[in-house]
Amino acid sequence: MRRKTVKKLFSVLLAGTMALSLAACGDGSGKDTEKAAVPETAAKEETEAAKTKASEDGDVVLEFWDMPWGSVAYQEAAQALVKRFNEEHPGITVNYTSVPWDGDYQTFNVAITSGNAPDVSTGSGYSPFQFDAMGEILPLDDLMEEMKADGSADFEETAMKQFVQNGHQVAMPWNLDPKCIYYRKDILEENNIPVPTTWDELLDACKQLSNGDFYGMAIESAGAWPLNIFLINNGVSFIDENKQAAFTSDGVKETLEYFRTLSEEKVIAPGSAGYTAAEAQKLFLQGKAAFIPTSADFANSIKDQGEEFYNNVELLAPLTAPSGTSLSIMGCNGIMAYQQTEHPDEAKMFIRWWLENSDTLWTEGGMGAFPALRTKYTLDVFTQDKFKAALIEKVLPVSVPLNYPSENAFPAMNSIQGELLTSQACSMVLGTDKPVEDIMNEINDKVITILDSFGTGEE
Amino acid sequence: MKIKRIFKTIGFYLLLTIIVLFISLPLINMVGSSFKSTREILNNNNIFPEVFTWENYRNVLNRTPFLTYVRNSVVVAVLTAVVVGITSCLAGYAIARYQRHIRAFRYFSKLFLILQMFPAVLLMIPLVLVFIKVGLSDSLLGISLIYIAFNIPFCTWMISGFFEGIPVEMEEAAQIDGCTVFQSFCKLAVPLSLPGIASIMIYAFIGAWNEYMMANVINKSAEVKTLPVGLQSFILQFDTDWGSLMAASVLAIIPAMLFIIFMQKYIVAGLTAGAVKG
Repeated sequence: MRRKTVKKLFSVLLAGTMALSLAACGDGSGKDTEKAAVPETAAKEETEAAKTKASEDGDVVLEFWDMPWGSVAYQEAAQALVKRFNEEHPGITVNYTSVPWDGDYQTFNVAITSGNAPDVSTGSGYSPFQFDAMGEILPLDDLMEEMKADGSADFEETAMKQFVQNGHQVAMPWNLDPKCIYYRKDILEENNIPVPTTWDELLDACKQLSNGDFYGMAIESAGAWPLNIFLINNGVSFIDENKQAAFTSDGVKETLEYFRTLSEEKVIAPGSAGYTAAEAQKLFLQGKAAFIPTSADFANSIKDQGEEFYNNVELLAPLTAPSGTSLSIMGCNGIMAYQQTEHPDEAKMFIRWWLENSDTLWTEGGMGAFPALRTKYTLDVFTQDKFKAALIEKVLPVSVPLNYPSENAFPAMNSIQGELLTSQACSMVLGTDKPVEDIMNEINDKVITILDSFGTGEE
Repeated sequence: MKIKRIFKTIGFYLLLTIIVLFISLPLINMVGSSFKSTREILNNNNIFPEVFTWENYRNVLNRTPFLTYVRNSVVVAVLTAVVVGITSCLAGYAIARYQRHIRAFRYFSKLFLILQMFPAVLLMIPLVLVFIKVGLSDSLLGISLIYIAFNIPFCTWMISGFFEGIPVEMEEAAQIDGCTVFQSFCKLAVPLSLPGIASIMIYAFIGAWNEYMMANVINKSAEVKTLPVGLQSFILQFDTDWGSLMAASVLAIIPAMLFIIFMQKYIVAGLTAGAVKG
């Protein structure tokens, strides 16, 4: 009898633990859930008190978390830049930390909710909106106004509007990461194919060039930037101007059907449905593809292949899509400060200094993304590089972020991008026979779920 | 007949070699790529370099705090393995020997398995809060304590099986001859359970060596980063420094490989012997 009771208790305990373990599998959605996850004031106050690490001289100490925007050279340049700031500003010491991209959201989320947020950080495009929804972002309205007043807010126009939520500046535009299409001009010339300017011309060029092991276009599905490039080029995205789900629009259908045609006409590699960016880039660098829609910083790898290859590759101007638009897509990444900072004025001062003095991150650090401040486009590293110059001239002026046509981003975009919905759509279009309408509806339903969970950020 | 046996043996080992090479292909490719320039990694599919270069290794060793990451990982993994080994042995022995006398012990080891179901990600925020308060965040000791705590339950359950396989009568005979319980544990049970002890130490070592998420969240400074976190510095948002990453990965597996080669004779025995009772 006693054994049976123990067994029953054991079974209940086991079932309860399994049920609790499912808590980690929840979507964690909803502003209320996020606010409930924040430990309350007492812990934050204690942590903030502990965080005031003034040195014996009474220095202000700022924790700056930066993302690896470049490899070894970038991190060396960034640390040198921080050192320079510290030397120029006695009384303020900035501690530099590089946060890996893998698990970055967990890193920031845990730090913020445990009251251990940095003072300043850079981050991926939509993260400031999500943290602002948690009440953790320090508004930078006064900083933006200050820079506008003295004429130094020479940001790309789209980037200027991007980081505004509920009328507040949640981050300063830091860098822009445009996407584009590179092509082999020598192969086009050899085959007397004119440089395409429309989707139809691009498809024709690809069909003429595809032959056995050679493909018209190298496409990846894992990150799915190629599909994003064509969606935005056609003037459509996941949402409409009212921030409502819009993945069932005619423009989206047109784009997905175009991609399916690429697959049916065999102008892309058979494994494209599962290709990562590295695999698609490798195909292009091995001379097995003529066009590659990809991230602009792929130019570094093109340069690495030697002068001959570099001279044979050009950047395609944004195509004229079936809808008549010629847009391009870019990521906008910001630099932000946190409410938990003990030194908001110094944090803002550092942000402004970082924006205005970060030339060496490009000249010595080899940073792939572009500065959001247009004044920096006069640097030799941009004017003397044919790809960068072409991007500045032809691509950036017509580039918009994934939240187009919404002028500014909002928290749900973090999940829309993070859930890799474009990747799912691209894999299904290229790798299955599923009707395009079904794919659109499936993805659209997911967008609706995300928008319902996270809202549009408007109070 | 003899020739037939020879051919059979050759065929068998040939097949094994092919299988091993196939399984090891990613590793071989990684080593080969570490001696190629990033340009060559991207523009051909050869396993071995056309142009051999040490540039990637120079980059990793001279321009990054890579050796610091290795040192940190070795310290954390060894500390975890040793502490888990000692603690789990003591706890596992108690469970194995006293479950006949204390009924609760029969279910205790099963509770350890239930603990394994608990998602570690739920503990991240509370752990960070506690560690900040006690001053253990951003430290090797702090992350070691986490790995020790995470590994003890499973290792205790595993080693208790080994101890159960040792006949009680042997220890009773030792105690009749004058050994205390602790002496019979140290002089009889532990030597006979060395395969199991080696297994749990290897398990704890590898777990601590490979773990990424907790190390990334708890430790931020470059001085206390471990290898898995350090390797991420070569992975950019939309690009990867493949040459440096391959070189760093080759260097990263050397300590773990040496440890496993040294302990391998205990691994197979350890994995199976504990399952046999009585």
